[in-house]
Amino acid sequence: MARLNARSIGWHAGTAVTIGLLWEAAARAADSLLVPPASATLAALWRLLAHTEFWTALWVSNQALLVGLPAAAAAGIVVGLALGRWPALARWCDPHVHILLVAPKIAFIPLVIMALGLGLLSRATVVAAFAFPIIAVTVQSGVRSVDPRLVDMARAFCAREAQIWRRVLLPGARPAIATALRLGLARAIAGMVSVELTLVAVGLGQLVLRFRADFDAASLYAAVLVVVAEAVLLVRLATLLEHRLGSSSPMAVAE
Amino acid sequence: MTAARIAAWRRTSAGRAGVLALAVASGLWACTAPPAATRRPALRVAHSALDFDDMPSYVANATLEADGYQVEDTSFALTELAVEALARGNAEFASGSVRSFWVAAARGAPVLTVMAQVGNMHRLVVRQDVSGCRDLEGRRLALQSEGAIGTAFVRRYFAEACPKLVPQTVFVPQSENRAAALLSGHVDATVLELAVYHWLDRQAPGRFRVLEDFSTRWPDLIATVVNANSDFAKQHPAAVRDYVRARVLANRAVSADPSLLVEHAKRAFGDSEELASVAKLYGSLQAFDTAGGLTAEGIAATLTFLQAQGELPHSVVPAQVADLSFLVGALRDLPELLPRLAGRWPG
Repeated sequence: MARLNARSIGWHAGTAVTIGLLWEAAARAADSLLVPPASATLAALWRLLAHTEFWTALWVSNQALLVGLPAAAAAGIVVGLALGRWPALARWCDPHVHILLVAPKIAFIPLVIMALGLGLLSRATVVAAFAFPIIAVTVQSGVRSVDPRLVDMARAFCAREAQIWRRVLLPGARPAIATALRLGLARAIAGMVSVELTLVAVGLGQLVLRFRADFDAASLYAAVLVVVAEAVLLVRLATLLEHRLGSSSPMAVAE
Repeated sequence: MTAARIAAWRRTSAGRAGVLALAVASGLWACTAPPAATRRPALRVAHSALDFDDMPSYVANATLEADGYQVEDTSFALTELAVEALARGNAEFASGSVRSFWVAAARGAPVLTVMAQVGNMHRLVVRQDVSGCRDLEGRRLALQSEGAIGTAFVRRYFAEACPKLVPQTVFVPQSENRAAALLSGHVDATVLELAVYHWLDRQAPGRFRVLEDFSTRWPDLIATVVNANSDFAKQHPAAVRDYVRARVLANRAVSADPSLLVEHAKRAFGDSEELASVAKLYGSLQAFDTAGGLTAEGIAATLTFLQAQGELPHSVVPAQVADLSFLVGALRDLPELLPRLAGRWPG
């Protein structure tokens, strides 16, 4: 296992170095205002990490994520479970949830401003709007994928609705819920950055806009690298959670 | 001379005049149109966004195409992308905020301002109850973003008019979002382009007003510019001069007849009542300078302003960012060309 991990780390490091070298060569060949060499980006990242302004910006950006993602997760899981369990409700709600899934959320930003203003609430709402639909749809699929024979069997043993939920549906949907949270997290991070580039320029979004306006591409990509690193880390944690939750089966729990 | 002979003479004269007119027209066409062997370079024009300010560019295309140029327009979502397209040689011309192009030039990008795009359309718009900048103490002010020219205008205005004032600043990058914030009462003041203010005023008549018109406060400052790729300009100075001439002619045409703006804007944005009134507004302000809008004084004033605001390094000199020679050449050409080109305007 340790050897496998070492090999895996080596593989990832090799891939990162190869991408870095290709990036360096491509950027030097392109000689572009907006595509900096990897070496310049890493140098800019080093400078950025040394600034308290950057850490303040990172914290401000993550406030919207910290508020918006749990709200989206709570609402998305509840709605997804309900839609998965009651087909009549799903028939009525499915089109609306799917509209939310595919609608370009940036287009609704003026409405968000009109309704909620320019504070944390509006940013968190946009983050939640990015994450909620994918969470709801994934959880709904998870509930639907639970073997109906398990529900029938539970009913045959006179299980009440609450018991069916507790013993069959929730354990069965658990892997899907973990997947939904992972997908929702990725969407929420995209929303967090989008909202700061379009709605209110605060946090990392404000830094990115300033770097972009100054054609300081190295600093711009350094800020983007931080967002990517945060996203990779959080998605990795979510994947670990997904694996842990996925290891339990509804049958085992039902038994 | 009998009546029949007079009629026959008239018919013949008319015929001769017709043939003569056709010959003259053909001669003029032969003079202005390039010989088959002469190849005109293709002109790719990058716009920072598709908006009203770009309409003279589309009007100019008719002249350029009649002169044998192939013109291809591309609208980008960001000024920085238009700058990048120009700097990389993916476009020969690009227009947008002066700050963006000059910051790129200061960083060594091969971009050169050849004329002004449109007058300064930035306005500080406030709620009706705000009578002066002092009333904004502690109130919310929405700005574009760090590095936007409008932000620089507002900061300079407050530094001059109310130096001790500290409004609560919030950055809202897109003008329609700033207008929405003002409309819903979430901010008390913001910087808007005139067309957006016009829209806002139609949505809520009398609720907002212009506290400061930056075009009258600093008449020499240039806000938006038309630029050429400097390598292209070295290789094809005649093409750059032709392009500038066409743009100046377009400015003259739309200033004389704002309906041209509406016609092109309809093609770009679809039909709307708003277009005609915005076109009229632009016409009344003479927003598109009929002499190209770029002067040595304007370049120096804008450079000094941007340097004083910390937007550009103090080492940048006018020759690094702008070249007046193309505009001067184009303006010299115009008196003799005007009669020949006059019939070419669409509409």
